Amino acid sequence: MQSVELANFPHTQEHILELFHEFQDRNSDYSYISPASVRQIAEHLDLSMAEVYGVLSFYHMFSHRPRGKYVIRLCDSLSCRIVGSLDIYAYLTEELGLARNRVSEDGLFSLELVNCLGSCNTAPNMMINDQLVPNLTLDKVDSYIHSLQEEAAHEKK
Amino acid sequence: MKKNKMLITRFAMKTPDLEAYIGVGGYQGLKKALEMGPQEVIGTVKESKLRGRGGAGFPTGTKWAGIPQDQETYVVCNADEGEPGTFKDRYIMENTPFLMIEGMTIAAYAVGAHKGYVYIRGEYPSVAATVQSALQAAREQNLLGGRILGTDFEFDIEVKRGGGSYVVGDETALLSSLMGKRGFPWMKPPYPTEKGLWDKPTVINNVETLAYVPLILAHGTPAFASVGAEGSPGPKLYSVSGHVSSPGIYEFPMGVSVKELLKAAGGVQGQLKAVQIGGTAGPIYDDSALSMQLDYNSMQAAGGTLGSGAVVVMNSKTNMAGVLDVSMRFFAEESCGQCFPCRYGTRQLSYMANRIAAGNGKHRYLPLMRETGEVMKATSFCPFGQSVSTPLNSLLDNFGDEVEGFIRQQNYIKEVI
Repeated sequence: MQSVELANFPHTQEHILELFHEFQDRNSDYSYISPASVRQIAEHLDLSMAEVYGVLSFYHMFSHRPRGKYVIRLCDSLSCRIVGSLDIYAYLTEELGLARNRVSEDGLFSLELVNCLGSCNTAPNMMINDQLVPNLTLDKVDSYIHSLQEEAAHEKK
Repeated sequence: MKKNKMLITRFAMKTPDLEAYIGVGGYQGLKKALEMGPQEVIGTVKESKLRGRGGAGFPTGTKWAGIPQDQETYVVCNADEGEPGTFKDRYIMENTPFLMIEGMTIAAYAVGAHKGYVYIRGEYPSVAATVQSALQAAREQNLLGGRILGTDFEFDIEVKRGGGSYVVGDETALLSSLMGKRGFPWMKPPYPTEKGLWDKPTVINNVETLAYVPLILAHGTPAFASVGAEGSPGPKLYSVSGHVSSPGIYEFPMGVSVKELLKAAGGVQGQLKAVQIGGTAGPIYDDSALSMQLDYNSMQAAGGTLGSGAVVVMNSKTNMAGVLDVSMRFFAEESCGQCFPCRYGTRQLSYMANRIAAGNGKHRYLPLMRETGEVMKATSFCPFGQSVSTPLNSLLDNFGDEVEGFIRQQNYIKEVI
């Protein structure tokens, strides 16, 4: 985990969301904000840890529990649902063995259902970390997941 | 319509480029504005009768005129586009971010602000990067920062990224979030124009609203009002998705009929069954929606809302029990939890809708759901909880028989097995 240069951020609460993004992105193996990070943020902004958790827990994109290296956000709003988001969900869970809001056994993936990624002209959509994956088909999902698995296996060697 | 100078789509580029933007007439609006006094700029926007394109439809000029003089003031651009089925602000920021930036700069000049924020939803990281580089390009050309275009006017814009919350799209909730708090909306009045960011007067406008401002300044209000509908002048971006051949962003004069819009989007795939207009809190109509006109007054007269201009098209293969489930789950997940009727009511509704969609529904759920929606309408703190009954009741009015039939059939299957 790379450290965040806290000195770059003023000591005011308005920067808290940006700090959450920074800490979460740097924590690339788990994509979450650890208790140690919360403590650092609290000290930097002169808030209590409870106050920091209070803000953190309001926003869907931040997690205080460890997640997979790749967070998959599958859109299940109306525009995606009616063109097959549930088929994609079934494939991810039944064929690829992922479970909603759980980390996969290899630690690589977390699966979340989200409300509208704002790209309804390319439905169904999902995001893998910061990247939008539009016009989903089962083949496309399959190839993305497998290439990330291969990449991870390669990195291990 | 194609020759209309007022179109946002006229400025769309694959890769936003400041020189190219200036080449097609960009920054003419700001130039004109800086030649006028701030009050004259506000007068022009008032005269254009431009109404907020985020959903509420409040007259933009009137909002600006509500800012007290001689106080520290902020301009905030609401780019927290979370309304399901809406992707017009993404379109603007990806294809022509300078229109939004120029519009914010004009707004700042008009109300005397020196600092602005663009609050971009967390789900749009690439959009935030595009806007960042557009801001940098504008700074380098002296279009932001100190002495803008050789005048004494100073203004700069900071990008803020959200963390994933629908409610933050509400203006007061957005200000809470901008200040680093939980995204709770607050009671109005006081309106943000009186007490906004850090209790200072604050103008908040939607991306699309701000994008039309430079065009109004550059070409005048008669050109803007030459198209549109009674009470809703000008063009508008419509987000069309679902079962149409070419889902996308379409710019039409206000008051375009749903029929014409769907024709532009390549027509319906299969047999039209239902249309949801205005976002998740909008009514779900049957095919009678085709004759509706998409502007503020017409939609209000039809018992609906234009909202963000989202139009989601459903064909005959759509299972309405599933649609009920998706809508209710949305409300349950996005309720901010601040007030009891919404926090608890949305969960009850989502529980029942999910049971129905999963084949475990009971007939008594349907009247109970309506009742829950009514209680929420009467008692919820903000428009979010108050609006749940709109999609719910319209879905049950128009497709209640289908949902009833679905419950009956699923129960029958279980008995037989």
